[in-house]
This record gives sequence, C-alpha cells and structure tokens, in this order.
Amino acid sequence: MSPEEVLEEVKKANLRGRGGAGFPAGIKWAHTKKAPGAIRMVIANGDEGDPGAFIDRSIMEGDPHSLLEGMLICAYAIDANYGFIYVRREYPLAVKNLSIAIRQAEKMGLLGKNILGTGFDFTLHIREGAGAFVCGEATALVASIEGNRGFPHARPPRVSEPGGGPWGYPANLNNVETYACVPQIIEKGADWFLSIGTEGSPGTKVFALTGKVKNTGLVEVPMGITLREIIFDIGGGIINNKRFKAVQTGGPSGGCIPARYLNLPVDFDSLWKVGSMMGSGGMVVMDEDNCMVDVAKFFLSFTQAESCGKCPPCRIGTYQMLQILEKITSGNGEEGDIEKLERLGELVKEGSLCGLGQSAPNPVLTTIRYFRDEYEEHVRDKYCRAKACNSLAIYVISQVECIRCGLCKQACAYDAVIEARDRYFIARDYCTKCKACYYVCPVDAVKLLSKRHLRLEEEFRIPLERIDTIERRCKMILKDIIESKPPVIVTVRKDRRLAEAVKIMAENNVSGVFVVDENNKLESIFTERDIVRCVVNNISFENEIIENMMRRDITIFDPSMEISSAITIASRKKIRHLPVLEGDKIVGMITFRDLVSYLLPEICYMAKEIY
Amino acid sequence: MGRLKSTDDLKNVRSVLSRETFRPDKDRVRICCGTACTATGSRDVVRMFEEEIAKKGLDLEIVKTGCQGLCQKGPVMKAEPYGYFYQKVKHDNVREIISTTYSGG
Repeated sequence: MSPEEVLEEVKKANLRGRGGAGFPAGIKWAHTKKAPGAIRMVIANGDEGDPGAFIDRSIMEGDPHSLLEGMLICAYAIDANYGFIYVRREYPLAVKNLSIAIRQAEKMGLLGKNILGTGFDFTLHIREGAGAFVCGEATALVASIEGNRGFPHARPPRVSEPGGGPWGYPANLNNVETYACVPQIIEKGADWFLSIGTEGSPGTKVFALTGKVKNTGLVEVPMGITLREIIFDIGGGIINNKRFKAVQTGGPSGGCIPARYLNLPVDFDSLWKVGSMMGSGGMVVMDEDNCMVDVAKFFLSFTQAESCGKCPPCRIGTYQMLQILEKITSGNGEEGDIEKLERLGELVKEGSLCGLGQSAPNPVLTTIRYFRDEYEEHVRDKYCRAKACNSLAIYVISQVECIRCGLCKQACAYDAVIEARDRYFIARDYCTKCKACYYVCPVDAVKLLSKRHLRLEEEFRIPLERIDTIERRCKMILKDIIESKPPVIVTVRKDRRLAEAVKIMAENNVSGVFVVDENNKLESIFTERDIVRCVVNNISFENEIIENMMRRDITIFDPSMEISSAITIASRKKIRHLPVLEGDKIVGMITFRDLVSYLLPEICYMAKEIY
Repeated sequence: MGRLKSTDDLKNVRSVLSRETFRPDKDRVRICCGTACTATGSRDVVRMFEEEIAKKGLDLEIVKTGCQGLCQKGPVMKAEPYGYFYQKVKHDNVREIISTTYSGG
C-alpha cells in the first residue's frame, strides 16, 4: 500500500481520536501531511492523567508492539521520520516495557534507518512526563517534550502546523489507544472496522469501569452500547443492590449522567449531547450513597490542583468555584450560590485557553443540571440526602432502634454521646459531626437528620417516615387534584338564558359552570353565588341572558401552581371556584371543597398527634 | 532472530510465526501478567504451572499475556481450547486446574 492508500483507508474507517474529543484521525493525519517542511513527527499521547483510568497503561504495558506498529503506519502515511511516545513517569513498567519493545523492534529492523530495505527511516524515543494532568493537552505536551514547563499555548498554530509541534516542526499527535486501532484497520480493512460500533463512531472503545459496581476493570465494548449494558450486564450491577444514581464519564473533564439516560448509546456524539464526554474512557458509577455536590467538589478540586496557572479564567475561576462548593458542603451555602456557580462555570468554559479549563466546570455544570434539587437541599435545608457531607446534618440516636450497646459512647472522641439512666443521647453542643458513632452503630440507630425534619419530629411528633409523605403532598400542584377527580368540564354558552345555566348545574350536580363564547373560549364562570345575587336583585331567570350577569374579573389558575399558593390566593380573593386553564384550554374546575379534602387527612393526623 | 533485510523477510517471519504459534489444536493456558495480576501473584501461578508441567510431562503451553481487563478478580487466566476463564487463581489451585481441565479429568 502506498502512503496515500493508507491515509485513505484510515480516513474511510472514520477512526476517531480515542483521547476524548473524538476528532477524526484521518483528517488530522492529512492535515499534518500537508504541512510544509521536510521534518515531521509522530507523537503518541500516553499521559493518562484521569484518576481511575488505565486504558493506555494496559496497552503500553501489555501490548506495546501494537502502539509501535500504529505509530509506524502513521509515520509511513504522513512521511514522518521521528516519533515520540510521551509517557508519565508514574508508569515505570510502561516505560520499561516500551523500551524493551523498541529495542526488539530495532533489532529486528522494524525501526530505525532503512526499515526492511525500503529506504524509510523512523526512529522512536520515549519521553517521560512528570505526571501533570495538563500535559495531556496537545500544546502543553509539546512544550513538555521540548523540555519546557508544561504550559499550553494559544492555537493556531496547531500541533500539526509548522511552529506548533516540538521545536517548531509539524507533528501528528494521537492517543495511544488510537494508534493501537490502526494496525487492525490496515490488516482487516476499513469496512471491517466500520461494521463495528455506530455510524458516527465506529470501532470499539475500552472503558475503565470503576466505582460502586460489582465487577470493576477494563471492558472493551463496541461503540453504541448502552450505559445500562455496561453497568448492569458487564459490570454486574451495583454493589449491595443499592439504587443507581449517576455515572461519571470522561473523568474530571466529563460530566455526570443521571439514571434517566441509562439507555443512552455510548458514543462521542450522544455523550456530548448530554453535557458529558468520552474522555479517555473512565467510568465511575455512583449509587445513592454518593452526594453529587461532593462528587463535583472532588473532581473540581482535582482539576483546580492540576491547573497550570497560565490563564486567569482557569486559575482563578476554578478556585472560586471550588470555594463556593466548599461553602455549600460545609453548610454555609447561601441563596444565589448555585446561580453563581453556573455563571462562573460558563465563564471558565468560554475563557480558558486549553482543554483543561474548557472542560473543568463540566462535572459541576452537569450535576447542577441533573441534580439541582440536591444542591438546593444543601443550600436551603443544610441537608445532604446521601449523608456524605458530614457537617450538614444533626446527629440523633433513635431510641426505638437503639439496643443500648454503648459502642457509640466508646467511639465518640469528644464525649458527646451521653449515657443517661436508660438511654444514650448525643449532646449537640459537643458533637463535632465526625460520623464515628454513625459508622460504629451495629443497628443503624444513629440518624443524620436535617434541622427541619428534627423540628417537625420534636415539636409536632411527626415520625420521620411520615415526613416524606407530607413533603410530597406539599409539592403537589393543581394538576394532581384535577387528575384525581373524574374529568367533568361543564360549559354553557354566554348568550343563553340564566335558567338554562341553572338547569345544567342541577343536572350535572356542580356548583359552578364555565361560560364560553361561540368559539368555546372561556369568558367567565357562573356559580351558585351568582344565582344568589340574581335572586336578591330580582332578576328574571327566564329572560336575562348569562352575558349580562356574569362576572368580568375572574382569576385564572395554571395547572402547575402549587396547591398551597392556590389556597392562599383563593382565601385572599374570597373565591370558591378556581378555573384551571392550560393556555386557552379549559382543564377543569377546582372548588374549595377539593382543597379541603386534600388538606383534611393532614389536619386530622396532626391534630391526633398534638392533642 | 536476526535483523530483517527486506519485506520478503518479514513475510517469511510472519508465515512461520502464524504456523507455529497459537496453533488451534494445542492445549494452552493464557495467564494474565498485567500489573494488577502480577501484584496479586500471577508470577507464582506461572511458576507453579511450569513446575507441574515439567513434573507430569504434559503438552501444555503457557502464554503470559498483557492485561485481560478484569483486574478486580485477578490473577485471571484462560484455559484453551475449552474457553474456560478462571479468576482469583492461587498457586494452590494450579494442580486442581490441571487435573480437572487437562489430564482427562
């Protein structure tokens, strides 16, 4: 095959960069090939900085020759004579195995001068990095290869252009995994490669599956497989059969994907659409015990620490974001903090120089996008439902569940667990919220409660399991009431006589009807109170038409309104019939009785407990 | 192997290797010697296999592979041609694996 044929084959296979962004390798190769100048380079990016991902490492340690072969093919295709493998120093075995592999290949005559007598030269060197996350970014990696500090620079010039690569020579930079795919494509053909995976992202991808799944490790799957298959079929589900909450893809630059996207096919484009990215292939599975704010804080503190400090949006922006997250998780969150985080995140994304800063806010932004209620709970209620943020709860010993073993008293380093004659309790003044008693309790009698729940329990004696129900009811909206009733909408035209309206009300056994015009558009409502008004004013029910007697100033309600606010408005305006409209469409009528029947069980229940 | 001088040399080597290595009719164990499995003791397993094979005179090939992926359950190994996959192999298990899988068991 001629170099052009090789290039065409890779282009046709639509091999996309496995490093994260998914840029087609063929186009990048062609771009480098077009660059003027006699000297070109091929660089493999083995600086795998994501915590928990070790895909490139396994290739470099376990099968280094596939990387060498891929780089050789690339060098042949773009006519490059020098190559670098950039490996982090934390992978000593990878460095060792790669040097052995290079030595073997050189001995066999597959690397070096005049390879196999074809006159093609390619020499390969290993460059060890100091393990900075930012050196995974192309321009910073180039600076590091040159021996400088790992600072990215503005693009253009790109690495593939003159002036962009090491010492100014154009270079083609791909991920280790990308190069490892190339030999297979050339050997079995582009069509074979295209037959695996999806249309937009062909081939397979290796993921490092970690977190709260039963089987962790490396999995190689075809692109387009769903998250559910990876986590539940291959990963074997969640440890201890807990509930799945989210999966973080792409490491600290990626985002959290919630449970509702479990059927999302995993490829470059669909992950991008939900705000995450493929990254180098890390996949951290989280269950209900993971606090999303805490997770965001963890990833952001990583990128914050790894920020090189060259451009202010990244250096200062991520620091400020981290401070706000710190504030929220330590229980000092204020109203407006979440919005501030969102604004800062967008600014950091827009203003940063390199990929590190542009993707650093992703974990925060996606967790806010999908788990905003959890953030709000941290800020408003000072409560962490996952019980991961220690200082956000009040520690209480449930007297019902306590078996009086005394372990919590032994565990407490601050003598906050106090032994009374027949029970143990936690003195809140001494409690440092270290969670020692929580971990040591054999029957889980130590509870982490929010301030609000505690008040409800102590003042109104509402048991904890009831609070959930009540809170759910508080969040109910008018639509819930309408859906719980039979769907009866009684209307009357406005040009009819009053008697007809009264007859319709009696027939349908309702206390109010909608008055509509000829296009069935709502004009007003006509209720029992209007009848009373007509009787008092001596108006003839047989002769007068409704239009003259109906009220002009009716209040219209939206189905999404909360019941509590509807009650407030209704009692303030002294109205008993609440017409509910969705746009122009009449949805239903809610009477005061509906509101009472919604309230009644709660009132009865609370009264019984209090008195 | 000496230095290859031309593409024909490479083709020769290739055909020889494809004929001689990984023949489908041969018994073979593929033991993971990736970082994680080495750390959990796959070297001991390899050594034990070598000893057992020498002792019993079996026709069994040992292949030390790169990372097979399921590092959590390491050391892992595959028994071919049967396609059995063993996890958390200890060197005490080797005798059992050989007797049940390869010597007529």
